[in-house]
Amino acid sequence: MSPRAGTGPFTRQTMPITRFVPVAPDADWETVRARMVDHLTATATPDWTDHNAADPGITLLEVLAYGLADLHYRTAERRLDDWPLEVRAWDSDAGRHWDATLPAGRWDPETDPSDPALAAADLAPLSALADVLAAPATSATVLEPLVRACRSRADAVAQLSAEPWASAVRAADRPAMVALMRARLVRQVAQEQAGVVASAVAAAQAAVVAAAPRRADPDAPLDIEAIDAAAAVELAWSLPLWDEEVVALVRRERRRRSREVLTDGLDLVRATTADTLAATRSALTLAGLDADEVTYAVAAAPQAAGLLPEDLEDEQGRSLVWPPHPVQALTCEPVTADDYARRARAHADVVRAWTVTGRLPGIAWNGLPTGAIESVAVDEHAAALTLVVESRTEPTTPARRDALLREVLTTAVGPEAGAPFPDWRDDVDDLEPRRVVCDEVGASLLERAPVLVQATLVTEVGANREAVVDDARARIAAFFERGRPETFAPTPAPVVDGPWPRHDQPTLGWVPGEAVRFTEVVEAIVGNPLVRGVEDLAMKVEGDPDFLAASHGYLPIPRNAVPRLADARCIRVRFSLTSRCGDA
Amino acid sequence: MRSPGPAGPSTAPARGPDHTRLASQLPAVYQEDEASFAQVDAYLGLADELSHAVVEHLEDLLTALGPDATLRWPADLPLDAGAAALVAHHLETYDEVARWASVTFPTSWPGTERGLQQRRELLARCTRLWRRRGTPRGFLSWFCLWFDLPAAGRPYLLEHFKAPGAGLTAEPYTATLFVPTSVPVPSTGEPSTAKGFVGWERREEAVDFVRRYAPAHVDLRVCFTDPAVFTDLAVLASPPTLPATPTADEVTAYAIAVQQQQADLNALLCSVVSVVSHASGIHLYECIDAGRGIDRLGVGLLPTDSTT
Repeated sequence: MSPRAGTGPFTRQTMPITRFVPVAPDADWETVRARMVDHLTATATPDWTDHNAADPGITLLEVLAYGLADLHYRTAERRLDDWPLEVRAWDSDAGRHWDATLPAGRWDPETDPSDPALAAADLAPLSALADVLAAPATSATVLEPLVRACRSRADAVAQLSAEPWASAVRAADRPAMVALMRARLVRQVAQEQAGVVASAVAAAQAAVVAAAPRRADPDAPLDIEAIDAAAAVELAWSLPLWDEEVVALVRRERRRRSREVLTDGLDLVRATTADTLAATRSALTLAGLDADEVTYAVAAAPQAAGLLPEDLEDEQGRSLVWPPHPVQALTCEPVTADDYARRARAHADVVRAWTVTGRLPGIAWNGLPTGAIESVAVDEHAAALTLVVESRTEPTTPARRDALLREVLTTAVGPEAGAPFPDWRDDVDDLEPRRVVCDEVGASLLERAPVLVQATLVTEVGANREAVVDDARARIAAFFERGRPETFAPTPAPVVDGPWPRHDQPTLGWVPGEAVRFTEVVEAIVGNPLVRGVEDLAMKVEGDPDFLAASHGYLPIPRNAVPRLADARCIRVRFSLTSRCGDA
Repeated sequence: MRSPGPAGPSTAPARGPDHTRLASQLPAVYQEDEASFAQVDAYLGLADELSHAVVEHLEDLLTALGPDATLRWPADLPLDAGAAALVAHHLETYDEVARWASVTFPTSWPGTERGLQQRRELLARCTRLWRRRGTPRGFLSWFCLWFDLPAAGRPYLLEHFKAPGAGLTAEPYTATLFVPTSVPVPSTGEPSTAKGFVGWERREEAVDFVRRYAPAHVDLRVCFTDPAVFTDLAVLASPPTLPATPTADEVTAYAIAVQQQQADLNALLCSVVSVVSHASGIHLYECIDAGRGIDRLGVGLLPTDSTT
């Protein structure tokens, strides 16, 4: 489907279906007429000499030119703005079109074509109908006029219940056969009497609206079914169709009006946010859309607020709108580490989440604490992924920590943390687990690695040593808390986001496992103008055997941890006696 | 948005006919003589017939060019065209729609009405299949649709990290797909000739499917097995589960059960004596750089990642 041409978010995408825009030789009436007259002048019999407008042949030619130009115009003006309401795929097969549909049947995997118990007509109902209509004795050429001449559907079905059709058409297929024989007539009347049907529906609705003050609840939604029934009764007197066919014509008009409501409200729908979604739905309901139509009308926006792919699909995954919405077609279940983290952030207790490689302390894929059994031992080099999560509430006991991590894992991936050996043969259409085949995903709580910082600060003579050390410690602690500036940059939102609700990572904070660079610590300390330089800087994570000197460049941090300044005070101050920049 | 008024939807604006017969457009003088007008009307009716079909096609555009195309008799197909023409027409339509959706139908699907139903199902589900193609259930779902498998014929996917052991089962990103060789016919219970994987050709197709659609970094081997395995093996019948709020004892018992389950599954894996290995990386069957990218399910292009 292609939205209107122009600027906007669509312009950067390639549209798989584009609206037809007529170009030459498609043209307006005058151009078509002139071409036809030219052709006529060149090829007509010499006896036809009067090619002026008054000639009856030219008049007929002009009418044909008008018909052709009219089709050009209709094709060019065919809009798709209301596409979510065009194919009502949320309805049953019989209800998807305003007129009767064919019994095409659905793919059923339990049906076996080699099953001798199945009749050919059961396996191929459409082909059975088509073959009957093609056979000389029962052909459509014979049957169509007979059915058209019937005064009611019952008469037509009775006609089919007689030979030669009785033995050729199953009783269950006869109504569909009758509808097919009437289809051309019904379509013709529907097209030619569209204005009459619209007027009848409008009149019936106006009558109800006029009576609104007399109703018990004037603000209550109108009874659309009653309005349509009244319009159908009115039209039954004037249209050359059976009653149920007149009802179908009214249904056509009603659906057309629904699409017009959506087209009129397109700007509102496209501007809808999560906050205004309820108001938009109310407005569409008030404008006359039914509950289903309101549900799918919001899909007219390219990035509809709060719209998940599953909202537009049934349990088996069949799209309920056609063409599918971008959020269905342009998104993918987890393929990157960030995808798992994003899903983990959907858990209410999770502030931030990352995915790192390795099997880290916490909960393994099967819900067991890592290390509980040999196959899930802690191993930083294991071909596994671990969700590192920062919790809003610090779990007080190991049991609560494990429970939280299992919950997070269930939120992110699915129920394998409690039922790790599912037989997926029971239901292949279920959405979980939401992980890539063979991805082993565990969870770990974000740790805070205490970092000991050892340094000698060079200051001017007379500086308050305690204050300088306190200031340096505060600056280092703030740096650890804040993280690096480059991690602050928010990621731009993609044009089509999904397939899950968006849960952005807070932009501040240290990224787990990122090493601490010595230069950055120095930079933080010398933010105090009293500090002229830093000597003998060394750092280590508490528990490590040795301090790392500044010459090492950086201090490694465990993958599931962020640094925090340890409580120990290992910083001292030396007064600069020379006041030369060499001290800095 | 149109103001609906206090009591509900508004009345629609006046609407003209969607199609007017060409004879009605003639000057009034043409309509003075009823017999002559009927003759002219019948003459122009040929063009009217074509116009009706075009207008109908425009009205049902998205239905006629979508999975539900088979619900309508094609506007441009005579009613007595016959089953072969009808099926051929729909097959052609579905091929066109599939090109738009960047989906390629399996070549093994029959060009029959059953094949039409399969194509309709694939078109309706193509976005979810594409979106979930890398997940275990998504992979199996696509496999079952491709091979028209009933519940009794669904394969069992065992990822080796769930049953670690020696050899291949110790390797990361490896798995085994156990595919039942036969499927019973519902009415007789005899092995189906239309389903199952008895013949070489269908087995080859299954292996080819895995080669195409398993994630490229995963080494997935295919094992054709007696379907009775799924009913006989206790290891599949009662896998361990962890209570929602387990006690320490329950966690311990669960750990023991998980270990036992892993050992049993590993024994199952080790009982496989003949396999067709996936053993491959990226498989490209069509040049993704040549013109417009197609076949997203096979090549890996995202929809609309076209270069044209």
